[in-house]
Amino acid sequence: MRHDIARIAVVVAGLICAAGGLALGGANWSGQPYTLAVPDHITGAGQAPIGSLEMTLDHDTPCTITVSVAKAGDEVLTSAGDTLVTRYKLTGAALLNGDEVWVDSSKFLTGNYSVQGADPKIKIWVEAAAGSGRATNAGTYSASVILTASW
Amino acid sequence: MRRTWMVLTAVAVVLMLAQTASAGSAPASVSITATVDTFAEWAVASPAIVAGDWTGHVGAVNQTRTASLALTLYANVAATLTPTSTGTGILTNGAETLSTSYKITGNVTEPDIAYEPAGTGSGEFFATGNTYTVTYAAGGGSYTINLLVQAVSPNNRAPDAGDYTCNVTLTASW
Repeated sequence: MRHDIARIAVVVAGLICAAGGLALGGANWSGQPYTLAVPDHITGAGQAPIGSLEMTLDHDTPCTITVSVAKAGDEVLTSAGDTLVTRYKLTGAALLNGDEVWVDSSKFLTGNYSVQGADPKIKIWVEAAAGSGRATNAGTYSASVILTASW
Repeated sequence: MRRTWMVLTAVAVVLMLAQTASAGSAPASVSITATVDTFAEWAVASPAIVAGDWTGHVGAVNQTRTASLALTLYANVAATLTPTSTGTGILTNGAETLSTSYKITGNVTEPDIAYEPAGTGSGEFFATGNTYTVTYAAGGGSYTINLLVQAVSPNNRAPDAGDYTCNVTLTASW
Protein backbone atom coordinates (compact mmCIF):
# COMPACT_ATOMS: atom_id res chain seq x y z
CA MET A 1 0.00 0.00 0.00
CA ARG A 2 2.75 2.42 0.91
CA HIS A 3 4.56 1.54 -2.28
CA ASP A 4 1.40 2.24 -4.27
CA ILE A 5 1.04 5.65 -2.66
CA ALA A 6 4.64 6.41 -3.43
CA ARG A 7 4.25 5.35 -7.05
CA ILE A 8 1.09 7.42 -7.43
CA ALA A 9 2.85 10.40 -5.91
CA VAL A 10 5.73 10.05 -8.32
CA VAL A 11 3.39 9.79 -11.30
CA VAL A 12 1.39 12.82 -10.14
CA ALA A 13 4.60 14.74 -9.58
CA GLY A 14 5.80 13.78 -13.02
CA LEU A 15 2.58 15.00 -14.57
CA ILE A 16 2.82 18.25 -12.63
CA CYS A 17 6.41 18.64 -13.70
CA ALA A 18 5.49 17.97 -17.28
CA ALA A 19 2.66 20.47 -17.13
CA GLY A 20 4.89 22.93 -15.37
CA GLY A 21 7.54 22.45 -18.01
CA LEU A 22 5.20 23.52 -20.73
CA ALA A 23 3.80 26.45 -18.82
CA LEU A 24 7.23 27.58 -17.76
CA GLY A 25 8.97 27.02 -21.08
CA GLY A 26 11.38 29.49 -22.56
CA ALA A 27 12.50 31.47 -25.53
CA ASN A 28 15.26 31.16 -28.04
CA TRP A 29 16.45 33.29 -30.92
CA SER A 30 16.90 31.13 -33.98
CA GLY A 31 18.76 31.98 -37.13
CA GLN A 32 21.76 33.64 -35.52
CA PRO A 33 24.11 35.30 -36.20
CA TYR A 34 22.04 38.34 -37.09
CA THR A 35 23.49 40.89 -39.47
CA LEU A 36 21.68 43.95 -40.75
CA ALA A 37 23.17 45.84 -43.68
CA VAL A 38 21.41 49.07 -44.62
CA PRO A 39 20.86 48.50 -48.33
CA ASP A 40 21.04 52.06 -49.64
CA HIS A 41 24.37 53.86 -49.42
CA ILE A 42 24.66 57.44 -48.30
CA THR A 43 25.69 59.56 -51.26
CA GLY A 44 24.95 63.05 -49.97
CA ALA A 45 24.75 65.15 -46.84
CA GLY A 46 21.62 64.71 -44.76
CA GLN A 47 20.57 61.40 -46.26
CA ALA A 48 19.02 58.85 -43.90
CA PRO A 49 18.59 55.39 -45.39
CA ILE A 50 16.74 52.68 -43.49
CA GLY A 51 17.35 48.98 -43.04
CA SER A 52 15.53 46.23 -41.22
CA LEU A 53 16.04 42.64 -40.18
CA GLU A 54 13.45 40.07 -39.24
CA MET A 55 14.50 37.82 -36.39
CA THR A 56 12.82 34.75 -34.96
CA LEU A 57 12.11 34.45 -31.27
CA ASP A 58 10.79 30.97 -30.62
CA HIS A 59 8.92 31.15 -27.34
CA ASP A 60 6.21 29.34 -25.50
CA THR A 61 5.90 31.73 -22.63
CA PRO A 62 5.48 35.44 -22.22
CA CYS A 63 8.81 37.15 -21.99
CA THR A 64 10.47 40.52 -22.22
CA ILE A 65 13.14 41.81 -24.58
CA THR A 66 15.73 44.22 -23.29
CA VAL A 67 18.43 45.98 -25.28
CA SER A 68 22.06 46.32 -24.31
CA VAL A 69 25.52 46.68 -25.83
CA ALA A 70 28.78 44.88 -25.26
CA LYS A 71 30.56 48.18 -24.73
CA ALA A 72 29.50 51.78 -24.48
CA GLY A 73 28.77 53.39 -27.81
CA ASP A 74 28.24 50.18 -29.74
CA GLU A 75 24.70 51.28 -30.52
CA VAL A 76 25.92 54.17 -32.71
CA LEU A 77 27.04 53.55 -36.27
CA THR A 78 30.70 54.50 -36.25
CA SER A 79 33.61 54.47 -38.68
CA ALA A 80 37.06 55.67 -37.70
CA GLY A 81 35.76 58.27 -35.30
CA ASP A 82 32.96 59.58 -37.50
CA THR A 83 29.38 58.66 -36.69
CA LEU A 84 25.97 58.51 -38.23
CA VAL A 85 22.90 59.56 -36.29
CA THR A 86 21.47 56.14 -35.45
CA ARG A 87 17.88 55.44 -34.55
CA TYR A 88 16.04 52.20 -33.97
CA LYS A 89 12.63 50.60 -33.91
CA LEU A 90 11.59 47.18 -32.67
CA THR A 91 8.33 45.84 -34.02
CA GLY A 92 6.43 42.58 -34.15
CA ALA A 93 2.89 41.27 -33.80
CA ALA A 94 3.78 39.66 -30.49
CA LEU A 95 5.09 42.87 -28.94
CA LEU A 96 2.70 44.66 -26.64
CA ASN A 97 4.71 47.85 -26.83
CA GLY A 98 6.48 47.76 -30.16
CA ASP A 99 7.87 51.05 -31.45
CA GLU A 100 5.75 53.18 -33.73
CA VAL A 101 8.28 55.97 -34.11
CA TRP A 102 12.05 56.07 -34.33
CA VAL A 103 13.89 55.82 -31.04
CA ASP A 104 17.23 57.55 -30.44
CA SER A 105 20.05 55.08 -30.01
CA SER A 106 20.64 55.99 -26.35
CA LYS A 107 16.97 55.66 -25.51
CA PHE A 108 16.77 52.37 -27.39
CA LEU A 109 19.12 50.91 -24.80
CA THR A 110 16.49 51.51 -22.13
CA GLY A 111 13.87 49.63 -24.12
CA ASN A 112 11.88 46.93 -22.38
CA TYR A 113 9.54 45.17 -24.75
CA SER A 114 6.81 42.81 -23.61
CA VAL A 115 6.31 39.71 -25.73
CA GLN A 116 2.83 38.35 -25.21
CA GLY A 117 1.66 36.92 -28.50
CA ALA A 118 2.78 33.74 -30.15
CA ASP A 119 4.14 35.21 -33.38
CA PRO A 120 7.90 34.58 -33.34
CA LYS A 121 8.78 37.33 -35.83
CA ILE A 122 10.51 40.33 -34.32
CA LYS A 123 11.83 43.03 -36.63
CA ILE A 124 14.60 45.46 -35.81
CA TRP A 125 14.81 48.65 -37.85
CA VAL A 126 17.71 51.04 -38.06
CA GLU A 127 17.96 54.50 -39.58
CA ALA A 128 21.45 55.73 -40.46
CA ALA A 129 21.46 59.50 -40.94
CA ALA A 130 24.35 61.54 -42.25
CA GLY A 131 24.83 65.01 -40.85
CA SER A 132 23.37 67.83 -42.91
CA GLY A 133 26.15 70.40 -42.51
CA ARG A 134 29.06 68.45 -43.96
CA ALA A 135 30.00 65.35 -45.88
CA THR A 136 30.39 62.46 -43.49
CA ASN A 137 33.55 60.45 -44.02
CA ALA A 138 33.23 57.73 -46.60
CA GLY A 139 33.41 54.17 -45.35
CA THR A 140 31.56 51.35 -43.69
CA TYR A 141 29.92 52.25 -40.42
CA SER A 142 29.30 49.56 -37.82
CA ALA A 143 27.17 49.14 -34.73
CA SER A 144 25.87 46.25 -32.68
CA VAL A 145 23.16 45.75 -30.11
CA ILE A 146 22.17 42.79 -27.98
CA LEU A 147 18.54 41.83 -27.64
CA THR A 148 17.97 39.62 -24.63
CA ALA A 149 14.74 37.72 -24.17
CA SER A 150 14.03 36.96 -20.52
CA TRP A 151 11.28 34.93 -18.93
CA MET B 1 4.93 5.58 5.83
CA ARG B 2 8.28 7.27 6.38
CA ARG B 3 9.34 6.17 2.93
CA THR B 4 6.20 7.65 1.42
CA TRP B 5 6.97 11.01 2.99
CA MET B 6 10.53 10.82 1.79
CA VAL B 7 9.31 10.23 -1.73
CA LEU B 8 6.80 13.05 -1.53
CA THR B 9 9.49 15.36 -0.13
CA ALA B 10 11.80 14.43 -2.96
CA VAL B 11 9.03 15.12 -5.43
CA ALA B 12 8.44 18.51 -3.86
CA VAL B 13 12.11 19.32 -4.12
CA VAL B 14 12.09 18.33 -7.77
CA LEU B 15 9.08 20.53 -8.34
CA MET B 16 10.80 23.44 -6.65
CA LEU B 17 13.88 22.93 -8.74
CA ALA B 18 11.73 22.79 -11.82
CA GLN B 19 10.15 26.09 -10.85
CA THR B 20 13.55 27.62 -10.20
CA ALA B 21 15.00 26.42 -13.45
CA SER B 22 12.09 27.79 -15.49
CA ALA B 23 13.38 31.38 -15.56
CA GLY B 24 16.03 32.17 -18.09
CA SER B 25 17.28 34.48 -20.79
CA ALA B 26 18.41 34.23 -24.38
CA PRO B 27 20.60 36.92 -25.97
CA ALA B 28 20.92 37.72 -29.65
CA SER B 29 23.60 40.02 -30.99
CA VAL B 30 22.70 42.08 -34.05
CA SER B 31 25.56 43.45 -36.14
CA ILE B 32 24.62 46.49 -38.20
CA THR B 33 26.44 48.16 -41.06
CA ALA B 34 25.77 51.23 -43.19
CA THR B 35 27.90 52.62 -45.99
CA VAL B 36 28.81 56.17 -46.87
CA ASP B 37 30.10 56.55 -50.41
CA THR B 38 32.60 59.17 -51.51
CA PHE B 39 30.78 62.24 -52.74
CA ALA B 40 30.97 65.97 -53.25
CA GLU B 41 27.94 68.20 -53.51
CA TRP B 42 27.14 71.86 -53.28
CA ALA B 43 25.14 72.95 -50.27
CA VAL B 44 23.06 75.13 -52.56
CA ALA B 45 22.46 73.72 -56.01
CA SER B 46 21.60 76.95 -57.84
CA PRO B 47 23.02 79.97 -56.06
CA ALA B 48 22.86 83.42 -57.63
CA ILE B 49 24.61 86.74 -57.57
CA VAL B 50 21.95 89.40 -57.75
CA ALA B 51 22.08 93.15 -58.32
CA GLY B 52 22.35 93.91 -54.62
CA ASP B 53 25.47 91.76 -54.26
CA TRP B 54 27.57 94.11 -56.40
CA THR B 55 29.71 96.84 -54.97
CA GLY B 56 27.47 99.22 -56.86
CA HIS B 57 25.71 99.88 -60.12
CA VAL B 58 27.72 100.88 -63.16
CA GLY B 59 27.27 104.59 -63.48
CA ALA B 60 30.18 105.71 -65.61
CA VAL B 61 32.55 104.64 -68.35
CA ASN B 62 35.52 102.46 -67.47
CA GLN B 63 34.02 101.70 -64.10
CA THR B 64 34.83 98.51 -62.21
CA ARG B 65 32.32 96.71 -60.05
CA THR B 66 32.78 93.42 -58.21
CA ALA B 67 30.68 90.85 -56.46
CA SER B 68 31.48 87.68 -54.58
CA LEU B 69 29.60 84.57 -53.65
CA ALA B 70 30.67 82.17 -50.93
CA LEU B 71 29.75 78.65 -51.91
CA THR B 72 29.83 75.64 -49.61
CA LEU B 73 31.00 72.32 -50.94
CA TYR B 74 30.31 69.18 -48.92
CA ALA B 75 32.97 66.64 -49.79
CA ASN B 76 34.47 63.54 -48.24
CA VAL B 77 36.95 63.05 -51.05
CA ALA B 78 39.49 65.15 -52.89
CA ALA B 79 37.47 67.02 -55.50
CA THR B 80 38.35 69.07 -58.54
CA LEU B 81 36.33 72.11 -59.59
CA THR B 82 35.90 72.96 -63.24
CA PRO B 83 34.26 76.23 -64.31
CA THR B 84 32.09 76.28 -67.41
CA SER B 85 29.23 78.34 -68.77
CA THR B 86 26.25 77.45 -70.87
CA GLY B 87 26.88 80.78 -72.62
CA THR B 88 29.95 82.92 -72.80
CA GLY B 89 30.17 83.78 -69.12
CA ILE B 90 30.21 87.44 -70.16
CA LEU B 91 27.70 89.82 -68.58
CA THR B 92 25.32 90.64 -71.37
CA ASN B 93 22.30 92.82 -71.93
CA GLY B 94 20.97 92.28 -75.44
CA ALA B 95 23.87 93.16 -77.72
CA GLU B 96 25.72 95.01 -75.00
CA THR B 97 28.35 93.47 -72.77
CA LEU B 98 30.51 94.35 -69.84
CA SER B 99 34.08 93.14 -69.64
CA THR B 100 33.74 90.19 -67.28
CA SER B 101 36.36 88.26 -65.35
CA TYR B 102 36.45 85.84 -62.46
CA LYS B 103 38.47 84.58 -59.53
CA ILE B 104 38.19 81.48 -57.41
CA THR B 105 39.47 81.65 -53.83
CA GLY B 106 38.82 79.87 -50.58
CA ASN B 107 39.57 76.24 -49.81
CA VAL B 108 41.43 75.44 -53.02
CA THR B 109 45.09 74.59 -53.26
CA GLU B 110 45.89 77.34 -55.76
CA PRO B 111 43.46 80.24 -55.43
CA ASP B 112 43.49 82.90 -58.10
CA ILE B 113 45.43 86.04 -57.30
CA ALA B 114 44.22 88.01 -60.29
CA TYR B 115 40.93 88.04 -62.16
CA GLU B 116 40.82 85.82 -65.23
CA PRO B 117 38.82 87.02 -68.23
CA ALA B 118 35.73 85.09 -69.23
CA GLY B 119 36.72 83.02 -72.22
CA THR B 120 38.13 79.69 -73.25
CA GLY B 121 41.50 80.88 -74.45
CA SER B 122 44.78 80.29 -72.73
CA GLY B 123 44.85 81.95 -69.34
CA GLU B 124 41.13 82.58 -69.37
CA PHE B 125 38.66 81.39 -66.79
CA PHE B 126 36.92 78.78 -68.91
CA ALA B 127 40.06 77.45 -70.54
CA THR B 128 40.41 73.71 -70.67
CA GLY B 129 42.58 72.67 -67.79
CA ASN B 130 41.73 75.66 -65.64
CA THR B 131 40.64 73.60 -62.68
CA TYR B 132 40.85 74.01 -58.93
CA THR B 133 41.70 71.35 -56.38
CA VAL B 134 39.77 71.50 -53.15
CA THR B 135 41.99 71.39 -50.07
CA TYR B 136 40.49 68.16 -48.85
CA ALA B 137 41.29 66.93 -45.35
CA ALA B 138 39.85 63.73 -43.91
CA GLY B 139 37.10 64.55 -41.49
CA GLY B 140 36.66 68.07 -42.83
CA GLY B 141 33.55 67.50 -44.87
CA SER B 142 32.75 71.15 -45.64
CA TYR B 143 34.70 73.64 -47.74
CA THR B 144 34.16 77.27 -48.67
CA ILE B 145 34.71 78.21 -52.29
CA ASN B 146 34.49 81.88 -53.22
CA LEU B 147 33.47 82.91 -56.70
CA LEU B 148 34.38 86.53 -57.40
CA VAL B 149 33.16 88.41 -60.44
CA GLN B 150 34.42 91.66 -61.88
CA ALA B 151 32.52 93.77 -64.39
CA VAL B 152 34.08 96.74 -66.18
CA SER B 153 32.18 99.14 -68.35
CA PRO B 154 33.68 100.30 -71.72
CA ASN B 155 36.09 103.19 -71.56
CA ASN B 156 34.88 104.96 -74.68
CA ARG B 157 31.10 104.87 -74.45
CA ALA B 158 28.26 104.39 -72.05
CA PRO B 159 26.83 100.88 -72.13
CA ASP B 160 23.08 100.52 -72.41
CA ALA B 161 21.27 100.81 -69.12
CA GLY B 162 19.72 97.63 -67.79
CA ASP B 163 20.45 94.34 -66.11
CA TYR B 164 23.42 92.37 -67.42
CA THR B 165 23.39 88.61 -66.85
CA CYS B 166 25.46 85.52 -67.44
CA ASN B 167 25.98 82.17 -65.81
CA VAL B 168 28.82 80.05 -64.49
CA THR B 169 28.75 76.37 -63.63
CA LEU B 170 31.27 75.01 -61.14
CA THR B 171 31.37 71.26 -61.43
CA ALA B 172 32.90 69.25 -58.59
CA SER B 173 34.28 65.91 -59.72
CA TRP B 174 36.21 63.19 -57.92
